[in-house]
Amino acid sequence: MELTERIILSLIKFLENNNDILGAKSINRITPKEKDLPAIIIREGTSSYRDIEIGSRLYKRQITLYIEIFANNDSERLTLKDKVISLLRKNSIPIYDISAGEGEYVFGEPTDYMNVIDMTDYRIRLGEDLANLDLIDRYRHLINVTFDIGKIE
Amino acid sequence: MVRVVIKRYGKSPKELLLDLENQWFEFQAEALDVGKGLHNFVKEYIKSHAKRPGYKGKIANAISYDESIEMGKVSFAIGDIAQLDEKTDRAWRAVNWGSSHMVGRKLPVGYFRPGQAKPDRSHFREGRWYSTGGTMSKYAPYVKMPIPPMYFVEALITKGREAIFNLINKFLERVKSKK
Repeated sequence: MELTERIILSLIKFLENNNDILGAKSINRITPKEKDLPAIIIREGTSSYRDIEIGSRLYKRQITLYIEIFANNDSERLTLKDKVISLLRKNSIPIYDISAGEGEYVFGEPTDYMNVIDMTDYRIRLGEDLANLDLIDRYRHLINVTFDIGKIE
Repeated sequence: MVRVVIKRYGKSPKELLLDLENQWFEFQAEALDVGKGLHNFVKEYIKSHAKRPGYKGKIANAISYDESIEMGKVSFAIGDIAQLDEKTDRAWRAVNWGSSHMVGRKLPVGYFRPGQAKPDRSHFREGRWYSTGGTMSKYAPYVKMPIPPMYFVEALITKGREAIFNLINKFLERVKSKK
């Protein structure tokens, strides 16, 4: 499995392993349903590539992922986003060797570790009164995280 | 009795700053090129990430660009939230961050194109639902899937950071290598 997908799946696994702290009902890649709230969704962002020196074909990749919180209420939204931020800031996140088996992913040993180098977060406002929105869209928060994946490619 | 001079890149910090200062007008011009490039980037990003065919560019065209040069200052601004809200009836927010607001709701009676008036799975994300003009079917579809997020604002921020980092780096390299 290629690196970007491994990074996304490894981050999901890292959050699942720490879900006793987070308390999310669902950690996934797709928009949750109401019964799954509070939920954490990981989505692919953009990557940037920097040559390690002029003329070199070797580069360092920085990958941005979007971590979205869907909560039942405002307090849950704020608590969950703070817990996610704290976990990501205080830990190196293992990137696993992953292969796709029969309908499931098989996680091997960590091959690298990624670290947060930049992070911003804000509430998602869809421009409507909360009362006019479905619960799923009412209390959403986006954490925009850039990781250094700690290796030269 | 003792004089210590530390020079990096063969220059003192004062000399480096002076060289940077001398390139200010070129820096301003290149900063505005970066701004225009980013404006173009976000518009193309939206067009290339549109989920359905026949995108007419309503959101992309509503993203404004503004720049200004003043004494010792250069700035550019891409997109104006009030203007975007007005010109797109706030739809840019649902497109950027995704939304489930239509899930479970019934669309007005109309027809789907291309394909049969009543769409089937083989035309998933290939067409649009029209509820005016043309020959109406008796079918009114339920929306099952949420609008997926496009994150064009976030992509612009990431791209902008990278572009400004590269611009500053380029000028620092120029100053360092200047004899």
